[in-house]
Amino acid sequence: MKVLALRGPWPSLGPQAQGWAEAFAAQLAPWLEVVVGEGEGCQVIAAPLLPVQTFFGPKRLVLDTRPWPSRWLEGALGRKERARLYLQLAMADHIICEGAVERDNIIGALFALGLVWPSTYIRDPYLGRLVICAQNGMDGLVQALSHPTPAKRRQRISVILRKGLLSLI
Amino acid sequence: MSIRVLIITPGDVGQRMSAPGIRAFHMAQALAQALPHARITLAAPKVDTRLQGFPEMVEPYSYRDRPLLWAAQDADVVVANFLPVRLAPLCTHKLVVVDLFAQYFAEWMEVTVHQEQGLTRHLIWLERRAYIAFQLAVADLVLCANERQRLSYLGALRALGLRRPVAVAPHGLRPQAPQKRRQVVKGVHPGIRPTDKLLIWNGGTTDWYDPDTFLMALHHLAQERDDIKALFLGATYPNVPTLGWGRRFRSAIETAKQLGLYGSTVFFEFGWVPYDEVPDYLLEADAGVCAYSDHLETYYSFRTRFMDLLWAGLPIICTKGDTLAELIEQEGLGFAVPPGDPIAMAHAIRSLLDDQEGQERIRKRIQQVRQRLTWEQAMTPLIDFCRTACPPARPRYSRLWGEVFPWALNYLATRILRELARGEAPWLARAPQRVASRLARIMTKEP
Repeated sequence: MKVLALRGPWPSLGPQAQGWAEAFAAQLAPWLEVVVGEGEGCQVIAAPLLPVQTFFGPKRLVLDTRPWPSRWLEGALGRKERARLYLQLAMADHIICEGAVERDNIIGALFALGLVWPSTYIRDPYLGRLVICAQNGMDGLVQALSHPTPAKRRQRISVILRKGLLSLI
Repeated sequence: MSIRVLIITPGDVGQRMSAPGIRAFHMAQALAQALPHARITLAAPKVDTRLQGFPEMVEPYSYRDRPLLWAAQDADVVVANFLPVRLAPLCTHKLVVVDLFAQYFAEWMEVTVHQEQGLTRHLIWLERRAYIAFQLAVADLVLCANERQRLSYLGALRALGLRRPVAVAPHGLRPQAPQKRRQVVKGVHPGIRPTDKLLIWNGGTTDWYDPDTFLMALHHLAQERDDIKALFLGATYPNVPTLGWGRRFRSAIETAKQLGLYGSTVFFEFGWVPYDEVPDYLLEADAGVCAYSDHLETYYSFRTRFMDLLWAGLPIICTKGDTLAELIEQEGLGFAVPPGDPIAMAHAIRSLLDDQEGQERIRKRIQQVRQRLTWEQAMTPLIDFCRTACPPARPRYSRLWGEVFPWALNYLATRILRELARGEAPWLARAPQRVASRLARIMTKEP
């Protein structure tokens, strides 16, 4: 399996986003053959901000949320940033977070946004393939990627963004 | 002027009460003790003041007989396990505390996936999700039972664009010491001898429990000895007909029969043991047992049934995964075994029951832990909130229209859709047809 890592064009995240692709590649290096940069042969796209054009492709999308949860919880993200973030959560097949605290926050958010459906829960009752803790390495992500299908079916439905609140119809 | 607090619970308060009723009853007790000048009303479908320890200063209010709104009109603070949607306008001029003592997103998801299929399942889920979001939107303070729940509710609130404080207020232990009034199991129950070792499965058996692992463990032990007996307390949930006699409970009976344990090793109480009689059962038991599957509901849960076991000083054998199982492991209050592992559970049961000294050690440790699990301590965030509560100076209409109403409407809309999908609202299903026929008559009517 090859992994294509993309640097997220999110300047407002500040220095945390700098060097993300290299750091991410380094973390995955023990498990995978990692390709940093764009390429045709990749199966997975990972980034702290997934490009919109990847949403409707067949590739597995991994959202690395680690740069933003503290700012998000503090309410420091603006309305547009928040909306963009929720859209990313909706489209991601796998979500990486820093530790157990962030995992709980994100699971609560996913439930509230209506992004966990009964079908998702039946496939992954612990949501261990959907929301992955990076605290103890990337083993969880590699296992999730090795599974033939992602836990969550990607939201291929219209999205209304209103006041930074995402609702699905 | 003294503060007026209304506690609303969806479950009965009386001898036949489950976790919501028990929690509301002890919440009222703790508030009455901590705030002697407060006027406290306890509203439930049915309130029985003959319950042992029912505080004199708490006013009972049975809303099966009278509208709940009457009681709510007088209150400064409304504490509700689930605030009915019709009371949403109260949030403009009263303080609302929503008591979510489970991670209800995960719990109701677990119930939903086992109840229905296809479109109805999705509609039920949308309805339940909107209802929880409504509760979060209407609250001035959200209470939950452990830190994991708090973190997930904070994430949910942030995602909904809401800022509300979330405080941890777990279940506590009954204040009075457990007292045995009569012999009810050993030597009384047919098939259980006075010398047998008794394991108690305290509470009902809902979808998220795993009695099969426990039964397999008993089957394993039954091959080598016949002095270990198990009693399942509780089959029908008061006020919640969908939970009692559920799929899991029926399958537990079937499994017990298939393994040849039914009526010889495993016994069931078909009903709900009265609250004041529970000690009679617990004080005869040698240990409490509970097993559940490894999923999100377990991870976020706070097993309220463990509180009565600890109150009675019973060692606990349970499966790992939740915060109380961590407490049991860390404090040495029993054994926590991996989920779905009957051999490990059988080993834990054998080790516990055959080690009298070990049991004594555990009981001493439970005595130490009990002191920090009182209702007064558990309810500190609520007591502090009520002590300093100051109802809004002017009505908060912006909150009602901007934050609460959208979710109330979302809930009502999904509920109607769900009822339509399940054929529970024939009046609604016929409505478009009636309107169409009326219109057709008007259109075709000659001038």
